[in-house]
Amino acid sequence: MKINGVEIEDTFAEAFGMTATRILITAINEKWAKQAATTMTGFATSVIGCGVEAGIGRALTAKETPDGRPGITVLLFAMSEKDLKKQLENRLGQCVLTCPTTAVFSDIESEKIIPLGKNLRFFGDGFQISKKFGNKRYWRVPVMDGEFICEETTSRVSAVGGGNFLVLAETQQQALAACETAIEAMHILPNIILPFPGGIVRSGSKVGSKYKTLMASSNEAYCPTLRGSTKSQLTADIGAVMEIVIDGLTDDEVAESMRVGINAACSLGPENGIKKITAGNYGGKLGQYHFHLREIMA
Amino acid sequence: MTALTLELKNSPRQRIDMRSLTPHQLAKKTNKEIAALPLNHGNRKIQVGDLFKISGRDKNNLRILSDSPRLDYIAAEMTQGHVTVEGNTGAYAGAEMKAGKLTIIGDTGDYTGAGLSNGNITIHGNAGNFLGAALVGERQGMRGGSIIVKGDAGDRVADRLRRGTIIIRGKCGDYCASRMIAGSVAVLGKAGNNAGYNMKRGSLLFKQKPASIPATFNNNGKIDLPFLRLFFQHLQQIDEDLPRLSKKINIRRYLGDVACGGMGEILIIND
Repeated sequence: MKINGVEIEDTFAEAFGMTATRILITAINEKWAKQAATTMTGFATSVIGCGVEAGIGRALTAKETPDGRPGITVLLFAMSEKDLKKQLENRLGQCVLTCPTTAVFSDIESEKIIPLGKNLRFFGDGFQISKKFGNKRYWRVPVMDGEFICEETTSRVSAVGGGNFLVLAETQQQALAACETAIEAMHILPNIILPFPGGIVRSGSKVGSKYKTLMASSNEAYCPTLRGSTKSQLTADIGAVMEIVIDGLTDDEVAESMRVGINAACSLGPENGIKKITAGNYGGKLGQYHFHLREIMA
Repeated sequence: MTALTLELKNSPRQRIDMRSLTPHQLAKKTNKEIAALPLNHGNRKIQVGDLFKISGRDKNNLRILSDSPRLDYIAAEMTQGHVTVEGNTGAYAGAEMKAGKLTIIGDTGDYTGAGLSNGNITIHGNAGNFLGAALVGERQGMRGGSIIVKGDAGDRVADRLRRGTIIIRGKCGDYCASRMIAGSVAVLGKAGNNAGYNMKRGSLLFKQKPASIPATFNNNGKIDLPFLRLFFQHLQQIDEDLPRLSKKINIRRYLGDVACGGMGEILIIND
């Protein structure tokens, strides 16, 4: 199968079940809502070392938010409820509570309730005020710029993490250009995040290592500098490989984002050095979701 | 199906306790059985059919046509359905209501919505004293739900209110939200003396400054409260045709009653 002259390998991306939540951060203007969201989603590229994978969802206008101010949604994905709760609370406390003018609300509903401002309220040292409007409880925590408003709880939902595809190109610049084009196209989709820096990961990993303490290590089959010394997956014309990893609230949304991203990357074509699209998997034994590239692109 | 309608034939000479005539208690009864239900009339027993002309079949929608201020406990302890009163009611309308909707197209007496734990009450006319308050001997007033008064309300509105929201579009009397434990009250017209007297927690919103605020309230100054947008939105959700309260979120705030912990607030839009 070829798209715009770029080969789509007959393989699949292997993804895992995760648990996720979506929250809404509002502030006096979009700049400060985005600042809080950016800070909160920092150091959240992979659950392996960060505990959670997080990213910015979309911007909401003042008319779309509960407190009538501009807002940004943030999606967080973790391997367990415990991890999600811990990371959510830590990141809210250190990155959103501290950020000027912000407020935080739940932006997702399900039967699985987790705390949002429930424990954060104790920062108010007894001066915090509870307000219950309808079925929702809000906490008003006194802070130096006024009040920090946070909804007491949010919900978590089952989600999919680790959807991916790899772009194989002649040079590093060409691989980067294709990935940037893909990411720009994928950013318009709601409910997915691309947790790695700028959405791209250049250090794709395999499970395990010759060093016993490491859970993951460099995927030598796709390292161009090891071609010739290992069992490489790269032909002689490939000079660089970059990967785009996707977490999404549903498998359909992950598949759709992969389709949009691969189409955009392929639009540059072989004339711009884009040779092949493939995907990372572990032989299909570890992850419960398999995204077959040729099925997605059919 | 048309609403089950109880039309008062003649104004009773004694007070009538109407609490047995709610949708959940009438659900499985025929109109004949309803007509035979007993009511106390002073020291005499009468039947519902002696007092009301009964028509309609939809037991979940009860319509009461009455101009008498002697019908007490209308929709009290109600758990479902919609009761509409076309005319005035006596005291305790919607008292200890647990769910459902009560609409009064007229005036109501004292203790309307007292001890309400859920559901909505809308009063198109005026309400008496102790609206949403605690029943005599009870430690807590209204504990959830909402009350909208499109006219004026009397004294001691929201006395010992625990949770829920009361909106008064007109004036209210003295001691508004006295001994309030928590919850929200909004008054759009003038308010009488000693608003918030002995309140522990909760929010008391006035469009204009009440006649007097107890000396045990401290002026918190004029401050930006983004929370007000949530509050205004909540009020508008309860009372859909409520006029827009304010665009500004910088309003005067008093904290008190410091004699009772001082965790309550009086918010004044036009100060």
